Amino acid sequence: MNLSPSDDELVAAARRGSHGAFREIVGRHQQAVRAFLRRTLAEPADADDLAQETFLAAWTGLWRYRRQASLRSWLCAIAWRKRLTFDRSRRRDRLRLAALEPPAHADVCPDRRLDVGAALATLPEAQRAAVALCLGGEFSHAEAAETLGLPLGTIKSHVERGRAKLLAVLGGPDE
Amino acid sequence: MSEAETRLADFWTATDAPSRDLAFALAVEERIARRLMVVDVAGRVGAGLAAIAALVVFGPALLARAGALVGSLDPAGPVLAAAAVLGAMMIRLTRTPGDVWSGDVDDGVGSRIGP
Repeated sequence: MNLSPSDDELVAAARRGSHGAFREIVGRHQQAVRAFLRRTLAEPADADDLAQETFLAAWTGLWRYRRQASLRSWLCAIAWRKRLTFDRSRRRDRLRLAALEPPAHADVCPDRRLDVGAALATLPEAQRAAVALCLGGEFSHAEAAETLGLPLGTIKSHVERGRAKLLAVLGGPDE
Repeated sequence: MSEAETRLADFWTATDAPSRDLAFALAVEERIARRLMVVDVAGRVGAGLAAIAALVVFGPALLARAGALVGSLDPAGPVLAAAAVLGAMMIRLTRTPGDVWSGDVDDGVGSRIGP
């Protein structure tokens, strides 16, 4: 018999001000949120920092949560928006640094069998996120669509194409 | 499973987060506590500023009204003060044991945190 409260019950309790309920929400979903961010960001420390920001945003915006989406999708959607904002600020920083430093040649790799993280980084943002959610995080296509705010068909094609591209890059000349 | 698929599967495993992580949960709680503190301090500062602004705007007018009121009560002041003191003494002296405020009675629960 499962006595643990459902996500909806925890959300209701957290909305009434229960810190214990919110703590349980964090405990229950931190793995999905952190893994998703770790797979779409180069630095695990950045991913965990954004994950903490995600839960803080969830705490302040808990009243906005609707039952149409699963709590996990809703949290990962917040994480995704945080990640996009983070990316934009990173890009601005990089542009500022580029004016000071000589250009790096990160895209040139002597070994054609690239590191998996680098291979993932070659995918377009939304494709990478869809692959990370559906292949890495075992999200259903529908859940990923809710999370990323994209149509179901787009998610399916992102996952298929992303997977094929990743395997081609990782397989190198042998595949 | 091809080598590429194995590497991909290894990557998903390597980038997974632990299922339970107390340090992470505490870090989230710390951020929430910090946010609560900021909101609390901002509220207090806002209320203080509003009070100061109200005093600056309405202070002179209030002082003028209060001065006029005190002036009008001036002759009756000592009489009113004496009546107030006498009234308070009468209430105190005519109390019966049943009138004693229930907060003074030991209910056996022990010390109270609130008022």
